[in-house]
Amino acid sequence: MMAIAAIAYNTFLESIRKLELVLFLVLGSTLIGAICYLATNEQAIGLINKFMGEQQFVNVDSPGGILIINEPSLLATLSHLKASGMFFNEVFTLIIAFALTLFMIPHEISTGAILYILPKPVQRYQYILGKFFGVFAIISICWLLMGLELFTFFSIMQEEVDKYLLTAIFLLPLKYAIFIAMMIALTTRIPPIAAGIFSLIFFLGGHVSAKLQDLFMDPALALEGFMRYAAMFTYYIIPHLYPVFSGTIMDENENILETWTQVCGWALYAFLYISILLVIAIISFRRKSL
Amino acid sequence: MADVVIQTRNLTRTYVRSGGKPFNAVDNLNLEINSGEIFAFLGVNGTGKTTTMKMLLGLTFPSSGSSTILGGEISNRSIRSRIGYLPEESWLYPFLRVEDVLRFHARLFGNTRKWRSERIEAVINFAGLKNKAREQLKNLSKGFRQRVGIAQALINDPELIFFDEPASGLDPIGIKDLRAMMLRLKEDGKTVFLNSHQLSEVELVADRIGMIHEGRLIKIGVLKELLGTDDSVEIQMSNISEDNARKLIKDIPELNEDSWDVEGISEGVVVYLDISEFTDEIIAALMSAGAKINSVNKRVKTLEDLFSEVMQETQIT
Repeated sequence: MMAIAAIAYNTFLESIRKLELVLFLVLGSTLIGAICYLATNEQAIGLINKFMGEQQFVNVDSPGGILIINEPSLLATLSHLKASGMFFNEVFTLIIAFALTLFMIPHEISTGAILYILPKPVQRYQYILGKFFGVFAIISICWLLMGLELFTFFSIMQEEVDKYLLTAIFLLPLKYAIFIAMMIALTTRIPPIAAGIFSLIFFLGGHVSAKLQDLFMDPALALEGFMRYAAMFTYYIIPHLYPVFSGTIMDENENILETWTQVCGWALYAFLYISILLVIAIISFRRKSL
Repeated sequence: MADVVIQTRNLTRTYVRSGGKPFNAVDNLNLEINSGEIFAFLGVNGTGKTTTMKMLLGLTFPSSGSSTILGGEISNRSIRSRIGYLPEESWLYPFLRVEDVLRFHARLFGNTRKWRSERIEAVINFAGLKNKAREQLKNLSKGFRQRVGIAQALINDPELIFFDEPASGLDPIGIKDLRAMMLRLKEDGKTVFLNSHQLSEVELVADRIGMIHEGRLIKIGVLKELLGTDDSVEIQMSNISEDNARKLIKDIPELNEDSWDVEGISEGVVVYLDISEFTDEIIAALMSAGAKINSVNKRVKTLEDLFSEVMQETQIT
C-alpha cells in the first residue's frame, strides 16, 4: 500500500506542475465563470430565450397551420446554461486527462525514470495502480473545482440544490477514471499516439452506446453474420457512458439515473470496467522488458 | 571462501533485428560475483553490459538461462529491498527537491517514518548533498544530480549496489568523488557491480573485472593478476630515423620479430620492447649509429592496454 501511495503522490506532484493542466483548468474555469455571468445578465438571458425560442419555432409541428412560438421559461434557460457549463467541464477535464495520461508511462520508460523505481521492492502492479490513482486524483480535483464553481453559483442564485447537477458532479469523475485506465492499459503496449486515438474513439463512442444498441437491434437494418457480431462485440466492449453524459444526466426527460439504485448500479459498472482495464494494463506490463 | 552474491547460469537475451534476424545481446553468460568486492563489467558500447544488469535486476527478462541475486530470485521483494541501483539514464523528477526525491524512494521500501528520516540524513551526508538538500533537482549540476542518483541507490543501506556508467558526463572532480564513494562502500563491506567505460577509473577501484564482447564473456579475473608484472620497456631517443632504428634492431639475431616495435614521435623515435632481456644490446646498437637516448622506462601495463589486447585477440579469433 505504501508503495502505491508513494507513486500516486509523486504522480500527483508531477502532474500539478504541468503547464497544460494549469492552462486548461484556468480556461475551463473562465468559461464556466462566463456561463455563470450570463445567467445573471438579463440581456443575455433574453438573447438566449430568443435563440431557444427560434429553435423551437423551427422544430415545432404546427397543428392547423398555426405556428406556436413557445417562449422558454427562465428555469429552462438556466437549465440550458447549467448543461452548457457541465459540457465545458466535460470537455476540459477530458483534455486534461488526455494530456496528463498520454505520455505518462511512455515518458517514464523513455527517460529511464522507471528504472529508479522498479528495482526497489515495488511490484509492477503497484506501479500501474500508483500511476492510475495519482492521475485520477488530479483529474477528480480539476473536475470538482470546475463543477463546484458551477454548482455553488447556481445553488446560491436559485436558492435550491439541483440534485441532477450534484449527482453529475460526484458521479462523472468515474467516467474519467475509465478513460485514464483505458489510456494506461493501451500505452503499456502500443505507441502513445495510437493509444490516445483508440482511447478517444472508445470513450466518445461510449457516449452513444445507447444509439449503437438501437442501431444493431434495428430490424430495418437486419445486420447479419459478421456485421451483426462485430456490432454486438463493439457494443459490449465499449464503456456505456450514455447515462453519464452531462447532457443526459441533467435532463429530466433523458436522465436514466433517477434513483440511488440506478446511480449505484452505474457506479458498480464503472468500478468493474476500470478493474478489468487495470488488470489488462497489469498483465500487459508484467513481462514488459524495459 | 567469500559468499557468492550474484550468480548467472547460461544467461541469454535474444533480440530480433529489424531484418528479422535474431542476435544474442547476452550469450550464455556465466558469472559469479563475490560478496564485498567491486566487480567491473567492461565492454564497448552495445555489447550487452546494460542488458546483463537489467536482467539481473528484473527489468528485462532473459530468453534463457537464470540468475540469482543474494541467493534468491530478483522477483522476491525481500531480495530487492537489499539491493541498490543507479541507472545509466540519469532522470530523476526535476521539479522535486533533493530531500523529496529521497523521501519518495525511501517510501517505496515501506519502512517507518523514523527509519526513513535516518536514512535520508545518512545518504545526504554520504553523497555530500547537505547544502543542496532543499534545492530542486532542475537547479543542480549534472554532478550533483548524479550524487542524488547515488543517494537514492543507497537509501535502503543495500548490501549489493549496481552502478551503470556512473561516471558518464561527470567532470574530473565528480569522477574523483565518485571513486572515493565507491571505495567507502567497499570499506563498509558492500558489493559493487559496476558497468563502465572509464577504464582508468575502474583500474583504481575494481577488485575483479569481466570483459564482454558481442554478448559473450571473453575475460574474467582478478584485476591485479590480469595486469600481471609487466617486463616491457620503452626507449625514447633522438638523432635517428624510424627506418634506421628499425633496421638496426632487426639485425639483432636473438630478438624475436614480434617482441618489439618502433614508432616515430615528434621528439624522435620510441622503441617498445615486450621483454627487457635485450635492452642493453639494443641501446648499444642504436648509440653506435649516433642515436641520443633520452629515456629508458619500464612500461606498466594498464587496464586500457589489457582491454585493447583482449579486444584485438577476440577480433582475430
